[in-house]
Amino acid sequence: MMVLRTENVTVVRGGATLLDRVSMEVSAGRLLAVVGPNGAGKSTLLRVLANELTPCSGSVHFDGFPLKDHEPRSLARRRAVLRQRFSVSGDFRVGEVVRLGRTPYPSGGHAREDHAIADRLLAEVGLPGFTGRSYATLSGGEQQRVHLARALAQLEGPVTPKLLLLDEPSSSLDPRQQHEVLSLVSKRVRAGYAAVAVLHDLSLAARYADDVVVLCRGNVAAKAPMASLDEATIRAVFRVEVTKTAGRDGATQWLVEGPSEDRDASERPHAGAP
Amino acid sequence: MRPRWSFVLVAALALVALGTSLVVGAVDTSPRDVMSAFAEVVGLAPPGSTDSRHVAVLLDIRAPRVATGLLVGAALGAAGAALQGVFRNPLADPSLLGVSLGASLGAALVIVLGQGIGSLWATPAGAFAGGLGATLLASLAAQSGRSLDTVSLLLGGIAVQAFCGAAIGLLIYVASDSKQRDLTFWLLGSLGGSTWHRLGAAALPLGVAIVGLPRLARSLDALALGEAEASDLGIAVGRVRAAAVILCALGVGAAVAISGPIGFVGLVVPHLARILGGASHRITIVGSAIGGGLLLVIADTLARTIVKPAELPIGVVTAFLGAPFFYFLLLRRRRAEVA
Repeated sequence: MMVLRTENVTVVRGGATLLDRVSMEVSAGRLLAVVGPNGAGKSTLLRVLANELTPCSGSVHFDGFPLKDHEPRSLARRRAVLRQRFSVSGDFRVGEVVRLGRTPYPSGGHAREDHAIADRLLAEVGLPGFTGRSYATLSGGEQQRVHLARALAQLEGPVTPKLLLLDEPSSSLDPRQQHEVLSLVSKRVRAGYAAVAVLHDLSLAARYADDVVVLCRGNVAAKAPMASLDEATIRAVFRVEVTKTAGRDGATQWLVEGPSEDRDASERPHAGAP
Repeated sequence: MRPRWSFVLVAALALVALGTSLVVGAVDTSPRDVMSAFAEVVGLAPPGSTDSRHVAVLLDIRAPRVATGLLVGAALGAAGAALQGVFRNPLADPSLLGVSLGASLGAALVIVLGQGIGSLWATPAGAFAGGLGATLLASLAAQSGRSLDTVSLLLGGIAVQAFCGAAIGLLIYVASDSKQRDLTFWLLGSLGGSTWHRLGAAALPLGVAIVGLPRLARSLDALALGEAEASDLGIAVGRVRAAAVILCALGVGAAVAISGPIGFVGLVVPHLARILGGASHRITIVGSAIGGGLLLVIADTLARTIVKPAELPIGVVTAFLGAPFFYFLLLRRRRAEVA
């Protein structure tokens, strides 16, 4: 079932075209990876999907209706966003931060049930017993997982479809935690959630994503099942030498070996500077 | 410290503070006088069994003063806590919106151009109008549709404050000596003019603010994550902000109107509440309302007893009382963090 669909989304900011007629869709039970070089428009796309940014033209539909037409609280029970940067002002406890995810529900996060949900999700993201800890004293990776737990808490309810939007969910995590977080997300996806994740690590995307959208300078360079993404596309978009191989367990690995020779000189920052 | 202990502590403090405030003052009364006067008022003792002077002092002077202190302090405390949440800035306080200086300018205009401070209604009315007007002007600079932009609101507030400050300065400059004294006295803040009538007139806006601000607590908690994150959670950020500003302007405008500008309460009491009860706005706003009310009653009790029968400006006492306590708590917390 189609959960989220964009059609010809264009975003122009300060004269620059950040997204140019981007069309994509994600269904229930699918994890869509959004990959692309820096400045390709990945985060911009995620902000459009999150209803934070209104496209200049084109449309975004969630659950069959334009995103704008959804009642905010009802939307918030079906769609959660984990952003790239996060901060919490004030000395909140970890449990309180997670329970903020329950804000759209009638209990507002204060009910006993909400405490139980928060404790369970903290254990699931690998932070069991962290409820009473001060959020500010956690490491960056721990904070990121607290926010993942908060986003998951937001979707703990009966209404469907569910959509998770993740902007580089593993950016502050060590390799093992990256896998743990993505397999947690992937478990939700198997349970019927739709998910869109901006990812930098192609091997990580290959292991967990079902589909991929490759963005390049605001355009969709490729849109395919993750398994059929080929070396030529990645080489052209990222301008790196890359090999697609199989790892020990048979999962696809992307080996990036270095910048490719066809680098466009005019694109190089500070071209000609000493 | 966890909320339960804080609650016991605050309740005990409240009993002592309210009792003391009713007992002490320019006229000597003992706790027994107060008790028997109280018994007579509620009908437990026959009329005339107590010195009627004591009943009058208690009923017409001290009780309205204590009630005014509680409500004004509560409005200032809750407004400070809410605004710190709105601006995501621990240094925010109600004066940022221009409401205090706007109210002061309104009062100054009445005092200097009108009949002076003597009139019962004109000064508070001028102050209330000035406070609301100033906030309105500051918000106008920040308005887009139904929402408010934080940075523009701060800058708008700065512009309004600068103008009001200059206008007050000009009024002090042109005022006659006696009006200058009235004006200076008013600008220092005092609960001395409290009567049931005055409190009655201000009770509605004060009450609306005190009851309304805690209702924004959950939205302000979500806002602690950031604006985009709060709207991800279904919060209409702009509207919450506008509601907070309106409620603060109402409450603080009314507070300044009946007691003059009293600094410090709105800035520091929320921090005390946070240190005692945690970051959640439900606790911070309600705690600041209770704490603000208590701080004002205690400060007022001291203000009218230290130099009896004269009175100190209450703003002087709130700062002398609160600043060292606040500093002590900060030091303690820093140590706890380092350890």
